[in-house]
Amino acid sequence: MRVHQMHFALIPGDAISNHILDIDARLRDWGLETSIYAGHIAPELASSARPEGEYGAHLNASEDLLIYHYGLYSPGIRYFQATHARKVLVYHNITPARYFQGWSREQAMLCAAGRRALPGLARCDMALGDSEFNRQELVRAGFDETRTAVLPIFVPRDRLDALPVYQSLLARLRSSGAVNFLTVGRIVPSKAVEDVIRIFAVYHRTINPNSRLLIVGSRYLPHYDAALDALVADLHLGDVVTFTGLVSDTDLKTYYQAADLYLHASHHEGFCVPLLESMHFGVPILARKAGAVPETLGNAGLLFTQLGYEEVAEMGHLLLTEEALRARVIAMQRERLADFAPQRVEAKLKGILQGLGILPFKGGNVR
Amino acid sequence: MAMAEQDFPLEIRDPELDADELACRVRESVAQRRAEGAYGPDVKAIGPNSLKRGPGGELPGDYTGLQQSLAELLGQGHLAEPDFTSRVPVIGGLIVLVRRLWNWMSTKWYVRPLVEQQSAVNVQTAQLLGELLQGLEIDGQRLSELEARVAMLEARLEVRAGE
Repeated sequence: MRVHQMHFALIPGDAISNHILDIDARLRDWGLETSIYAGHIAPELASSARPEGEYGAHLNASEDLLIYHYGLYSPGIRYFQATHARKVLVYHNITPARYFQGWSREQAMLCAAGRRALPGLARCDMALGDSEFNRQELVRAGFDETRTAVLPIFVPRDRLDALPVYQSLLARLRSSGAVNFLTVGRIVPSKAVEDVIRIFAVYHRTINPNSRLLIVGSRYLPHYDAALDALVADLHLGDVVTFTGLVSDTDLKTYYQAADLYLHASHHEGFCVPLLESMHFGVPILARKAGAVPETLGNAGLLFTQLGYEEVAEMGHLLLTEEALRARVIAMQRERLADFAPQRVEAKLKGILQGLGILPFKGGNVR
Repeated sequence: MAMAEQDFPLEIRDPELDADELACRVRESVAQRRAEGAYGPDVKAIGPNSLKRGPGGELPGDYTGLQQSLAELLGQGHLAEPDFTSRVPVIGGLIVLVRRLWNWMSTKWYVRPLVEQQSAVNVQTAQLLGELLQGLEIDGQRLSELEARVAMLEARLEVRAGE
């Protein structure tokens, strides 16, 4: 009996890819044989995964388990539909296609096809959302509610702590005592990066000119990238707004350590790993109330419900300057982070696999 | 205490924080800087037009609206005979009785089969439309997957052409 995981891509630094690798590590610790398949495998992870076509050899292995991670349309869903193995769908949510319309036909089509294909994946032994928000979408798509559950994404804090800090970058970012705003995530229209830039523009030109905005995340939509570059130029922020592109884990940790405020304006999130990373690094969060963001934050962080650029900028200023407020928000964030402790996620995963007969209950036998 | 969305665009869920006091301070700061003209031009009006439009509508092939209309049609397909009422005091009941009697004598035996026939046609039509919509959805799903795969291949070709 083998546990297979499949995703359309395995890419370093990608939250879902990291989650897959973390699950794989746990499964191996529990004595299971495992394999990972992906439609696209980044060269750095070539030794960790196989091309998805190779899963075809296991289609009839009914004792196996296939865990399919679904966050975008991929032809690989055919394997999930066709397999005779036990199967679990992990739904990471798919951005509604309308956010990509006018920016990227490919992304819009992939999102639209992905959402339309979701009800066709409902025949499975278990469907997991990494938030209640995602689980509810599964139920609305026709999945049997009694076979759904929530499994949050692993945020491996030990690994984050073990990473070195890029000292010269940190020194540069902390030079001149500038206040650093940070936002992390793919640079895509659903994340409303333009709103982050505008809120920062109000703060920078009105409240504190000794400030900068760090926008960390991969850029792959040329039209959207060009529009954001034009916005930065029109707001005369070229010297203080930095698009880093995709960064290494070490650089990412350094950006969090240099950050004074985490600002997130996304319209749609299925979970939002950067919120947990901000909690871990003690960066106070100011985020738009959208998608799974309020659920992930719980009572921690501060939410804005609409814009209000000036109000949000002023709230950011309070969060940066009021020591008691800042300390309380950071403390609440740390408290909330405990709910996502890797041990808790691990226990949930174990319980799910026991329920499916993949792992024995204490003293029992594996099916 | 949480702030009411309609009052303020910020929400604080931590019960230990005085949300009203924070909201008040933010409001005062905004009002003061506005009075001083410190904020300058509206940031929303700055930047390329492409960033000023909101997200687009649903892509073609989304039949959610049609499904809702069809459900409404099914609900309204069965015709019901209206009952007579009267607001006239005292003799209202008598008027209703006379109307019912006249309807029974003159039109009911002629109209009722027509109503039943029309109801049956309506229900059958709605069912047929439902089957057609189901077929459209299946074809639409196939089409959207094919479009996504074509778009994916086109993007890969563009990358290769640029290499």
